[in-house]
Amino acid sequence: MSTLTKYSAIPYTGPAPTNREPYVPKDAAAMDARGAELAATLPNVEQETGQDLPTLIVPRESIVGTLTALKSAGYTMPLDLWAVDYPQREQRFDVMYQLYSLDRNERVRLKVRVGEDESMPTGTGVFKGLNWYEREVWDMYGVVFDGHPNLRRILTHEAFQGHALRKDYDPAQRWLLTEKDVAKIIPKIDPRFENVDTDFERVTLNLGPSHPATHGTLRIVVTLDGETIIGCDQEIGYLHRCFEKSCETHTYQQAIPFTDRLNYCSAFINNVGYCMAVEKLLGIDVPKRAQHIRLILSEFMRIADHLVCIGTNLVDMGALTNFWYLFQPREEIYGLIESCCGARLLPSYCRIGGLAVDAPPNFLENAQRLVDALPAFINDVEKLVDKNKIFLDRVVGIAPITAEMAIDYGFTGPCLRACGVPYDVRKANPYLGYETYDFDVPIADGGDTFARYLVRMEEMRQSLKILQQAIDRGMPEGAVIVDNPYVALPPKSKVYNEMESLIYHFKLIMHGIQPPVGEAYFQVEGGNGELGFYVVSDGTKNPYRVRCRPPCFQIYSAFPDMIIGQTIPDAIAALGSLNIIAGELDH
Amino acid sequence: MPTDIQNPNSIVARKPAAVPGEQAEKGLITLPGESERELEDLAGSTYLTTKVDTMVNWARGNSLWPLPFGTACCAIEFMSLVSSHYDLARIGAEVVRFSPRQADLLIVAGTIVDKMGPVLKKIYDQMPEPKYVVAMGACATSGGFYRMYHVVQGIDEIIPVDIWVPGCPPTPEGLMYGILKLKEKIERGELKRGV
Amino acid sequence: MQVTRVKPGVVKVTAARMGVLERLVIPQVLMGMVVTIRHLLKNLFNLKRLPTISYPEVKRVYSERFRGRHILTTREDGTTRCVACYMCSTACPAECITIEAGEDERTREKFPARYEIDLLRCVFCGYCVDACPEDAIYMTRDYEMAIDTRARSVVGLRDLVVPPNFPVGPMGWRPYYGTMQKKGTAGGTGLGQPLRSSPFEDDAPPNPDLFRGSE
Repeated sequence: MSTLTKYSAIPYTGPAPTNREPYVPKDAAAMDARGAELAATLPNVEQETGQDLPTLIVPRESIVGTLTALKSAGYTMPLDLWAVDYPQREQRFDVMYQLYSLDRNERVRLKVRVGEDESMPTGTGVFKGLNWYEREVWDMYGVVFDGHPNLRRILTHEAFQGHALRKDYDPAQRWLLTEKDVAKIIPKIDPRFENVDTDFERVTLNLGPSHPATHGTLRIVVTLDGETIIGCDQEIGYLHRCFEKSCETHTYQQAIPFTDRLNYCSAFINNVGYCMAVEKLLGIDVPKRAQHIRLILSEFMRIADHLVCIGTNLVDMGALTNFWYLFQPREEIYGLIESCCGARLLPSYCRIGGLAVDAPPNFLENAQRLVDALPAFINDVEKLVDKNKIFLDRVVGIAPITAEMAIDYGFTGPCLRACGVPYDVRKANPYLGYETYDFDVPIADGGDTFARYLVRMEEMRQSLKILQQAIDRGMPEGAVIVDNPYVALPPKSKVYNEMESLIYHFKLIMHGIQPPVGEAYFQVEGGNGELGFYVVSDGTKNPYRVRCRPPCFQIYSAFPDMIIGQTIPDAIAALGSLNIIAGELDH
Repeated sequence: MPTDIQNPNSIVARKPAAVPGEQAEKGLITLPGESERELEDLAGSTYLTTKVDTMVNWARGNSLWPLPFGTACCAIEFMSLVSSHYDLARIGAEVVRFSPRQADLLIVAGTIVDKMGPVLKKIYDQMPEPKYVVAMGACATSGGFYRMYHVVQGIDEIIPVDIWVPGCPPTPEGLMYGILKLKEKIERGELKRGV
Repeated sequence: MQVTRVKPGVVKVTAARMGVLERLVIPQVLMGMVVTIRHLLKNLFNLKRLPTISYPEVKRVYSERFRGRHILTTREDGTTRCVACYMCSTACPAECITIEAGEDERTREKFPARYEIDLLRCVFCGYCVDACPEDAIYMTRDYEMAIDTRARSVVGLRDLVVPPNFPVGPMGWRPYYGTMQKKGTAGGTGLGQPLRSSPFEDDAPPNPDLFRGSE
């Protein structure tokens, strides 16, 4: 049997006829009002109504002006930039920006229609964080950004031909990369160091994709002047597993295992994010019991993620003992997750509308035992490391980034909180009932490696605090999945005995969930920051487009700025503290 | 459940392994019927060279030095394997070396994409003989569910593989089972590598 | 580390304040070694409390939901319950199940003439078990699946079907009928009964009351 199934290119013939109204978000009126306000202040801009965020349609030429105006109006963080392909349309690409205002906690979405042969001005002059996103849109769609400093492929390899996320690109079409095709990267030297005249020779060093300290598959090329790094360039895409195209060729339910593998250290949080985005599109509310279990498991996964990050960060610096001490509680967390979800690392436990099965009866008891046992391990590591001059010399003041620059790059999560900005999605846009829990958001000063370590340690303790409250409240009674036969599989006792349920079951498996036509964005707080899922539906059983906003994408794009002027060991220590997970970075 | 092997601090229960053949558990490493495998005829070897061969194979099998070529989620399970709960060091694979020049067991843990292909080939070529390859997980063995434009459909497109370990990710014990199987094969002399 | 409250909901974490003695390197390193030596002595004198599971002599007990290798179940007369409806192969995200249906002359029912699972493609997500309307496919707790020849990677009916009296290990992921939405009964036709009474005390039959539903 051939292991490479030949898919035919997906012929797009317009949205499938559905018997449901198109998707209307719950807060559409408020968003439309805000969008109208914004559109009034900006020239040449139209508003698109009926979306879940204030949406403005901006013509290509005035995008830079609009971005600058919005930035000065307070929308200082570039959250995302992606595109959608509508090949039936004259201007087939819809390039979309999402900006966020930290002060007002508001988002705005901009849509730009670009045709196949048209190009767009670059936004890198306005926001530094758009640099890599524009490279990604060029790689996946072929939209040229005029004025971009370095428009080359980012996720696929150098010998790749074509643009992968276009609707007429065959998903199984591969291109062979041989050694001679691999591009030689010579990093540009930072302007601060260009004219420094020293006796040392300049050396280009490749910290290649197979390296013990590059977690997974990151390639960094540095130019060294003696020991100082004066130029740095990166290559990613060594784990580009085509998540977004996979979602287009699979049904909504089948995409859940794919989301697991994005941030594999805290896999359940990705499940939750995707399922909640689709549930938002369907307009259904998940039962309380399912929300409670989702919250408990998300917090355990967050703790597991931070344990890996700190453990591997310390291993890179030579402190191996902490790795053993921090991996042992992870096994216990896996024991709990496996007893509930069925698998240790990649549970695929969420379903659209709730959870696959209910939690076992000893779930809360085991969770309590874990919550009691975990602080001992965290305290042990703290005793070993916190006041240790060797450790402090290696991390204090290393790879700093200022809050303004971090926001300009679009940082979120612990890396942003280490710069002093208290932005956490669980507080800003609460979901799963986080607003009813008493917990704090830790921040630190300086944005250096030490600050990131401190923030993660404290975040683990805050997660334990949330867990204790969740366990004390007890599990609400009720179902774990919504009772809608168009969304969730009926229970087996009915499927085995009733004809009607068997038909619903059959239809759900064969024809899938068919949400209303529309688009929805939902964000959750992942281990690394704001993990957003944007789902576009055309009414058929496969999503039209699923976009995952990876938090570590922009964090990693700021890495050269963080390490220029420091040495290689500093760079390694800093890389570990950023928690770059390649599955998420390369989606 | 016997109490002397349980750990009171852990929520994970343990059980003793069954006698091979009972409860349909497979034999420790060898499936029933596998031990009668035919080995190659060691033509031209004397009693002394076969004994030396056995000793050398025993030594090689018990001191595997793994190179975890970890790209994705399976790398986290490999990290669990070398951690205290399962501890790969108990079977001799303590020295985890990231340099191919110093390792002899290449464990490919995670998806290999087309961009990473030349890197994997280079690492494999740099390893000195005798070298063994374990493909861990669905993605490394066959591409998994990524039948996509950038994913290598199994690393045996690029390098020869000795043991395939299915699972997504395989549990650390499943991987240890695979490595123990490899160890048995080495000790039986089935993997003649450069000799 | 020191934690101070900045405003409601936000705390600031700063470096720990170190005394004069703590600023010297050696005393602090020795304090760190106290932690490791404590662990060493605790483990040395109390071997029962070691977290290590000495595989393969001791194995870890996985729960009754573990997603391991698949099996196809049989009825009392030995025929497979599977009716080759193709739901599992449609639900599978990896497309690892290949089925060819055949017709049973005696009863005019479909049965699988060929049923193969490519174990190397499978991601063990359990969707096939969720999708089966006939209680035909279960997942066991078996995870020891490493192979040394590629030919063994595709398991067919011979490896999947469990004959009626074959001793099989404890079951893992399987349909929990009457659970997900409504408190239900275990079905009157006998289809929902557990596979066989299990000699393993950690393998409880699925209990409909275990998974409460709303009314």
